[in-house]
Amino acid sequence: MRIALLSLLLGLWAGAALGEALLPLASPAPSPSDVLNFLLGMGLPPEFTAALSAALAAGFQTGRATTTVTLLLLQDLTKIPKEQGEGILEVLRYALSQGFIVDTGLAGSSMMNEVRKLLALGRSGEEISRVLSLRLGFLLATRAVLARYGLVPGTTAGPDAPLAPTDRLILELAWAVGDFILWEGGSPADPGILGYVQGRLCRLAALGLIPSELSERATAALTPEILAEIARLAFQPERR
Amino acid sequence: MRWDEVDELLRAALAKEVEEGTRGLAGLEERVIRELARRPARRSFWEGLKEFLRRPTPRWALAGALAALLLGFALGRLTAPSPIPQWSPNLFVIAAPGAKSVAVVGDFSAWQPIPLSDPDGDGIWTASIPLPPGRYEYAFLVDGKWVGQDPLAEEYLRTFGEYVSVRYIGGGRADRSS
Repeated sequence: MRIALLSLLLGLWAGAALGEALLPLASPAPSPSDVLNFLLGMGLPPEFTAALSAALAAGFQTGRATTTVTLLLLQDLTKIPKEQGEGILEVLRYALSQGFIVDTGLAGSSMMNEVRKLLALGRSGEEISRVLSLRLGFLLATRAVLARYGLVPGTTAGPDAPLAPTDRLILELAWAVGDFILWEGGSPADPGILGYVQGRLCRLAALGLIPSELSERATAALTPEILAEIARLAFQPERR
Repeated sequence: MRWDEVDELLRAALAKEVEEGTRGLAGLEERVIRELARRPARRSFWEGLKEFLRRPTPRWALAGALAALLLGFALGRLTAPSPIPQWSPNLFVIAAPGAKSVAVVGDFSAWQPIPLSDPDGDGIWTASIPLPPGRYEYAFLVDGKWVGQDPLAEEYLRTFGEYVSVRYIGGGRADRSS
């Protein structure tokens, strides 16, 4: 009887300890060094690896990239031809060096999630590289045009600068214009682009992803002409 | 009774006891040797454990301990502080009668499949996924085939000819929490 009682108590205690120890659902995010070590093992040219490592490390530090999505992406890129993977990573490195957000984690638009989506759709590395270059073009054009209208700072912040609310505005606005042109079949001259972009910004502001004040200022200032200019500049890098 | 008579009685009683004790000691040495020879050699741990488990009381104790372990585990899971913020769950549902496997992929999983389940076998597959506020693109994979148009989505995008559904989670009319 004493043994039975002791076993019961011991079992209850051990079970409770085990139950508390198990974390529900989430696995811990990889550390920056996990990601950078994986990158080192990918066999890319050493100078390129060094430049990308520095850009990613700064991105993890400032919130322009997350370790979880980056590691998944790097793992994916080992399954496609090396030169195609390198092309994709070069676009990401350049975007980071320009101070753009390339990964918002598991919520919302980002270049890294775009790559993962296109890989899930079975698109080739070349197609993905083209789409990513266009996305980068929309980011550069959006920042250049918004800066011209005084909506965002004109200077390039760089990868080490702390994130500013305008960084997310640039990302979301560029993404909306890009979606309209790339996936909705719209043209830069289509006046429908204004409602599409304004609607997107309002929704994101309502969710708290962009500061309301910033979103209101941008939506009030936007015109079909400004958006058409962004769309045209995205395809004409020499005019930015 | 006189004291000398008492002495005599005591002496007689003691003598009787000594005589009986001496009879009990006869052959003691042989008996001890026999008993030591009868005992088996030292058992291994596993043999000992097997014998222990064969006894009726420990078997009950073990069953009770196992039950207590499970109960404790459940209590532990309930009381454990969650490292994940308590976002409201969002229901992803698709009718796919006859499908062998259904999953959802999207921004929220970095496009890794999250399996849906159909426990009652009625062809309605569901998954409840807690998500922070955001705009999410997603699609279903039914037996590995891309199904991008979810009737519950708020928008659709066409990417390389394939549809992708979009939901806004976390506020206004867009919040489709289960």
